[in-house]
This record gives sequence, structure tokens and C-alpha cells, in this order.
Amino acid sequence: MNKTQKGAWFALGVSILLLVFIAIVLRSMFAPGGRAAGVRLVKVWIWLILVLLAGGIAFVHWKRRPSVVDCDERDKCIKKNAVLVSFVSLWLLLIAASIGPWFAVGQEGSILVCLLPIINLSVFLAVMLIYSVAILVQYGRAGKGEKS
Amino acid sequence: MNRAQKMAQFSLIVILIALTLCVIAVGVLYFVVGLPMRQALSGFAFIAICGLTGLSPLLYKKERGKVSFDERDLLIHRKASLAAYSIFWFLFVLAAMVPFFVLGPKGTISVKYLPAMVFGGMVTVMLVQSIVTLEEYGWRSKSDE
Repeated sequence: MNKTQKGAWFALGVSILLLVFIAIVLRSMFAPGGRAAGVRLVKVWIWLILVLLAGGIAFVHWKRRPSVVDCDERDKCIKKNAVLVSFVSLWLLLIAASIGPWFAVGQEGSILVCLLPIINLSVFLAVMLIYSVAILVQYGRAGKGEKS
Repeated sequence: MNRAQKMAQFSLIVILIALTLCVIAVGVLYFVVGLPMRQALSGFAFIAICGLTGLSPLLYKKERGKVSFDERDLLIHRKASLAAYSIFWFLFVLAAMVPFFVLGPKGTISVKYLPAMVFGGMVTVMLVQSIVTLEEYGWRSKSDE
């Protein structure tokens, strides 16, 4: 498995975990009287998440042999296609996220402002997830890419 | 002037015309007609003119037998896209965080704000991409070499 694939697996894992985490926090926060519980959940888990993220990034970028080439033409092409897919999905998700509440609460309705950063973060994580999946699909899921 | 420059120039002109018409329409509806600001903002409908930028690949078609896109064009295109999406994402985060801090976590906002955020983002991307493309080539038509 090369560095791009490792990075994609890492991003895939992180984005799925964070999306699940956001869903759990939202579920507890929007339950009656559950706002404090949601905030406590975030306070307890945020440090562990940050440590795991830092560790994961260090692991992905750690090179055992400095002489090994990180990426070649094929990797660049795969990354380019994945970026294209994620850009298209970014716009589709943004349009869906902007029209969804319109249908949910009506044309004259309003939403809580705390939902805006949540939408923002969720779209970012979803795009990261799509980017990682696009990379892994192109390499073939079984780790057939060049070794590094 | 090469194809990428012509397309960028066309997009820039269309977007600037659309934005100018929006400002004029909102101003006329608010100050001249005397509508409340909420209704005067409907003048922003002129932003739909930006949709004409989608016609640029049809207006400036690829010439047969001629290389219209080389390594340098690719580099410029990448740089322009990177700049456009960086600015877009910064503004998008800002647009999500400012109401949060201004109105407080319990504040509410109209659902119309969300499409405005997205379409504002689209216009920003197109505008910045066109400006950076033209800036990278040089604004004059010297780069059809």
C-alpha cells in the first residue's frame, strides 16, 4: 500500500468516525434538555479525537526510507480524478444542504444558526469521504498499488 | 489571446454586469420605488445572468488541429482553481460562523440564507477563477504564443 492509499484509508476512517460523532452529538443535543449532555460529550471526546488525528497524520506522513518516491504519474492522475469527483460532489452536497431545510421548514421558515457550522463541517467531511473513496476505488480496494 | 483567456474574460464581464445590475436593481427598488429592504433584495434576481458563463465553452470552441491547452495553461488553471476554492471555503466558513457569533447559538436565521450562501459561493468561485486566470496570463493579449 502506498502513501496515497494510506492517506485515503486514514481520511476515510476519520471522516466516517467524525460524521458518526457529529450525528451522536446532534442527537443528544436536540433531545429535550440534552444540550448540556451534548456539550459534555464534545468536551470529553475532543482531546482523544485531536490526539488520534495528530497520530494518524504523523503515521501517514512518516517515511521509513527517505529515498522512496512518494508518488508517480499514475498517482497524480488518480488524485486528479478524485479531486474532480470531490468538486462535483461538493456542489451537489451544498445545493442539497441549502434546499433541504427549505423543504423541511417551508419557504418562510427559519433554522437555528448553530446548524450552519454543522452543515459546513458535515459537507467538508462528506467531501473528504468521497475523495478517499474515489482514490481507493481507482487503486482497487485490495491494496494493489505500488509499495512504499 | 488564447481560449482560456477569452473564456475567463467573458465570465468576468458577465459576472460584473450581473453584480452591477443587482446593485442598481436593489438600489432602485429601495430608494426610488420605496420598497422595504426585504422586498428590494429581490433585485438580486439579476444574479441569474451569471448562468450565461456556462455558454463560454460553446462561444469559444476548440480549434481543430491546434493545441489549445498545454502544460502552462494547466498550471494556470490549477492555480486559479486553488485560489478560487480557497477563497470560497474561507468565505463559506465565515458565512456560517458570523451569524453564530452575532445572533448567539440559540438565534435563528431564515432558510433563504442557505441558498444565498451557496449561490454567493458559486459567483465567488467564478469571479476569482476568472481574475486569477487573467492575472496569471497577464491582462494584455500577449500570450497566444
